[in-house]
Amino acid sequence: MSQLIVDGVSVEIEGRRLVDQVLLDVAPGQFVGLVGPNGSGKSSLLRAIYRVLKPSAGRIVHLGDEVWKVSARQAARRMAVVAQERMGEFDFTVDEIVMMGRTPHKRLLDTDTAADHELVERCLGQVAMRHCAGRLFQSLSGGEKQRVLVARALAQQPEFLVLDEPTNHLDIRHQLELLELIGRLGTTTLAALHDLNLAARYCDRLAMLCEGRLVAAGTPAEVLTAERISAVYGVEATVGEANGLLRIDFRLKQQ
Amino acid sequence: MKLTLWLGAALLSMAPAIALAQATVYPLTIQNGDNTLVFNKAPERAVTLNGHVTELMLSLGLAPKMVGTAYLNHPILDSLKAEYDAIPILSDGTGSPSLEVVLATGADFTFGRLSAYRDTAVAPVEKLKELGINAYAVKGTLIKGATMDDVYEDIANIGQIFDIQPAAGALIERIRGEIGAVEATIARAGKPPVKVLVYDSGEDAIYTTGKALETQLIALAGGVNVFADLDETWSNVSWEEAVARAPEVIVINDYGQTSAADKIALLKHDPALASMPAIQNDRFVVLPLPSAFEGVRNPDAVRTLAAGFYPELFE
Amino acid sequence: MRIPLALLLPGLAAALALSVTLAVTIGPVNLSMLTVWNIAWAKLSGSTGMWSAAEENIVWMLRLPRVLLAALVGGGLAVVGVAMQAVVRNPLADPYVLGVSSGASVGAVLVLGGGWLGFLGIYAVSAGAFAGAVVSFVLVFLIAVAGGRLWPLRLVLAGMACGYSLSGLTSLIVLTSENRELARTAMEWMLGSLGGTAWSDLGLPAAVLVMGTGYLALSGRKLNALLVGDETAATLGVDVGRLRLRLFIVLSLLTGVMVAVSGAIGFVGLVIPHVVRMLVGTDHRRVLPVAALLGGVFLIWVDVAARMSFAPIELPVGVITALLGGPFFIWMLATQRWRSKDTA
Repeated sequence: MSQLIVDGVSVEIEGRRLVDQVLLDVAPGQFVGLVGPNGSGKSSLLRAIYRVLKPSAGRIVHLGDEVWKVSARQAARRMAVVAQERMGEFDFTVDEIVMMGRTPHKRLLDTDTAADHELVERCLGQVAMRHCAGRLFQSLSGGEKQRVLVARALAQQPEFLVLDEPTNHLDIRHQLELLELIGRLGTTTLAALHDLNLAARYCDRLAMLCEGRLVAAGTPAEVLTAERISAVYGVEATVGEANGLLRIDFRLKQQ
Repeated sequence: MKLTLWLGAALLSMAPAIALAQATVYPLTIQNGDNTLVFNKAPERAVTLNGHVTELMLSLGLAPKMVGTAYLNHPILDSLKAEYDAIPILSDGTGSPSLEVVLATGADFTFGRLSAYRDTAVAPVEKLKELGINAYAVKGTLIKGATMDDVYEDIANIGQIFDIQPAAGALIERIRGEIGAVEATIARAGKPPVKVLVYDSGEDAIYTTGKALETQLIALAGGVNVFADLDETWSNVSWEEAVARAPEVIVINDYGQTSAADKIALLKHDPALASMPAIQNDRFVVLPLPSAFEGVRNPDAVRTLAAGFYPELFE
Repeated sequence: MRIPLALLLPGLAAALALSVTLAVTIGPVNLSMLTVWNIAWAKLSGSTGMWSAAEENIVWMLRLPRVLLAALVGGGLAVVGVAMQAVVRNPLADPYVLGVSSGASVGAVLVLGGGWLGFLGIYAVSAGAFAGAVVSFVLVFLIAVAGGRLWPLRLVLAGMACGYSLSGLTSLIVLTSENRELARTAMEWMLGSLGGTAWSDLGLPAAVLVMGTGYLALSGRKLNALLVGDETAATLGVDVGRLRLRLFIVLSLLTGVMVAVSGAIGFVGLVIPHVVRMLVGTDHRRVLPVAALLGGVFLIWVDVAARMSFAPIELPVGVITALLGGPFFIWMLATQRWRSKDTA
């Protein structure tokens, strides 16, 4: 039984097809990585899944419901998103940002309860940002911001996490810590990643996109073959193994 | 002045032929433009909201009934100064007093130009009515093409409202008589009317008058306003149009910061105007603006204008 | 530094009550505080006392309704300013950013100059202004929505475009009018004034303010999410399109009513929201109630200045808000760390 089914989904903007009839399954508890070069349609596919870009064809079914047919609130209680939207001129404190994760769980007259505050603290603790709770979000470094946004997603207590390049702006330690954390949470996760080594190391399964089409899906070892990387990314790659992990090296193709 | 007025009023009231001399029967209804005023008795506490209105009320001997004056933007007539100084001044020559200040006098009647009854000046007449104040507006400010008859109507109305018809009748007769004397002099001479341009102000264009009292004052003084056909009371007209109408005399409205001499100099030094008969013959009449407003100074205006139009008749 | 809400809200409520009671004792006519309060108390309790009808009228018919309207309009403009900044996600937005004051001016000038709606008597100008405000909102909405969704930038641009066109229309009407007083009356109206307020003028703004602020405060969480970004708000369960449409309607109604009763009073809706954010942060559930109270207190005192500084002649209150608001804002910018690195 799959938690998320992407069934022949296409996304078009102004006549350009960004995602082309993609089929994808995510099973409960899996950490699925979406890989592919820039412009391959990773973000567009994710945006179709989290209800920002309406697909021109196909269905996206999450937990038995088509995501484009449930209410925004219901969708947000099941699915949390860490995307790459730049925040505007207005600033919130870190704990206020994380508290926003409770929005889909609140009705009109509900206030923030002690339990909500505890949850916010716990989520900040999970990303090692509890010491920054009172600081202004804009005053944080890129990596710190990313971790706070993950904490906000956790505060949504979702059954499904969608992450768009979550390791951008993070230094190596925080990249590892973040992906480690997501693996440890056990929440079903679909994440666009551009670092193939990290994807291979932390994801249960990978799906590779190229020019909007799904070119491969399976275990990291099945997807990340030297030939496929060479074809999709236009570089020469060697895939080896070290300490039981896939290890991929790249160099430019010789003319 | 006051004494002679009262004397005249007393004499007139004895003459049964004067219909105005009948005592007012209250409640009295007065129609003032769209506004219907009902007086259950003569007002006891009157406030005047403009200088020429203040002079009119004082000339009717109403000083004892006046509890405030406002917006006098020229010196008061010498003959009225003593009485004027005894009445509280609610605002000086720069604007209308606020409603609160008018209310604080305990006023039951106000008299002023329509502009005093703007929302941003004192208050609209409806609002004053709610507060128990009968607000009367100068008729000449409510209509286009005001004449001396409208001034007489205001005076007669005030006479009725305050039950002083004899004094009102006397004042009307005095003004009518003074203006009539000038008219008679001109009529005897039998000359065609002089073409007159009113220069109020303006550099890019001339701010002049069309259908306002000043046009009739000019007519009474034996002139004709070249812009009498304007459909507005006051308006800007182009220099070109003014030249085309070839005025023989220019009336300078004298008030405010720019002196009459400066205005005349401006007109004389404009080469575009050189062909105008009034400029070629150096014919200017300086009219103190307060005398062009509805009130007791109107005969002065007619005299000043007539003397300017026909110097040989008024030496 | 943030002040705890538990202190700030009761403090501001007390300041508002105190401001109302003090402001009615101040006016060009000198009345003792005791007289003023006795009159107010007598009116409320139905008793009588030793004062003239003129004094009673000044306190009860002129000053008190005016002070209360100042509080309502100040609170309303501040609240609308806060929400408008969230709707268009722009710190420079104020209640008039969508061109509403220009629309209201056209309506008011048509009434002042052309005598439209004459059958409404002294309410004609307010009615004209409200109609103009609504028309401009509908125009802005139609232009902005033509692109599909109500994007913040499209809203602002549509508002600016309509604002310029409608200002031009106002100037055209004023300049070609036969009424030579119109330029002055129109300018005074556009600057905003609270003069001539009667008790009957208070009902509608009070009702609209209470309902509007209530709705906005209950939507506080969603406004927070909206301020972060449309996409983020959507992933947090906010139906962004529907929310922005509803906010648009609520804000139109609020601004339209405020403009109709007081003209276009500037700066309150821009400055107060920023001052409040400096005091309590950005969370709308705190900002909105604080802004409503602070805006009320602020405009009460600005109106006192408008009444008193050139007494017995009154200035339009908008002149004072502009004169005070500008330097005050500059002072805030200079002394506060605008985007401080830390709240400590």
